[in-house]
Amino acid sequence: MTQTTITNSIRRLRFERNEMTQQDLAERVGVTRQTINAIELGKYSPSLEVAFRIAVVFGVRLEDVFFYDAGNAR
Amino acid sequence: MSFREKSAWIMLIMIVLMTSLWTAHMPWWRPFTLAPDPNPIVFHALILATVGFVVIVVVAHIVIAVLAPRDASARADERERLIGLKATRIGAYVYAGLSLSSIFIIHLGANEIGLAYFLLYSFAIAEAVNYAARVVYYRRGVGP
Repeated sequence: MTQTTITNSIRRLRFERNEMTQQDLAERVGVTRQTINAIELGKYSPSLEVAFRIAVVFGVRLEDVFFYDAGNAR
Repeated sequence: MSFREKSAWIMLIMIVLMTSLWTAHMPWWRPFTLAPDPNPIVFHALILATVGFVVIVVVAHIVIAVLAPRDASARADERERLIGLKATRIGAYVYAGLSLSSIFIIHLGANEIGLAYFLLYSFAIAEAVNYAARVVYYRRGVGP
């Protein structure tokens, strides 16, 4: 499986927001539910714009959603 | 599974199926020779395979669109566009490689009909690789 060096806390943030569904988040961000699922599982690193949109939906800073693992960077 | 992933599966299965069926309509030796005869039966099979391919693909896409209309009408997002670009690039490499190798086919003694078959198969193989790559990217994930 293609794994990125960027991890995220989207699942936790969704849970904390009244168990927001992936579909709800996807519609608010403007991507497909499958893309949100791929981001959550670390199969896809979103563009900076989508990353910011996700952070805006949760009302947090970008670095509260995404984390860069420099140790695993190639 | 998203609409576009289902679409990629449909295209992959149909390309492999139709190419195989058309090949099966040839006399057994034709796929293994570089200079097949211009047999009208083979040509008719090609026309039937092409028309059948288009009809089945359109109907299959209508079915999956009816099952998930919102998904089908949504624009491709950045991940889907990236998958499309990467898979198309892989397919293009395959097509370029096979097309260029047609020069060697001529030197091996193929006539113009053999060359036409070779280029047709090259296109079918390249498209199959293109859609197979999409399926792999959808399943395994896609990096930058």
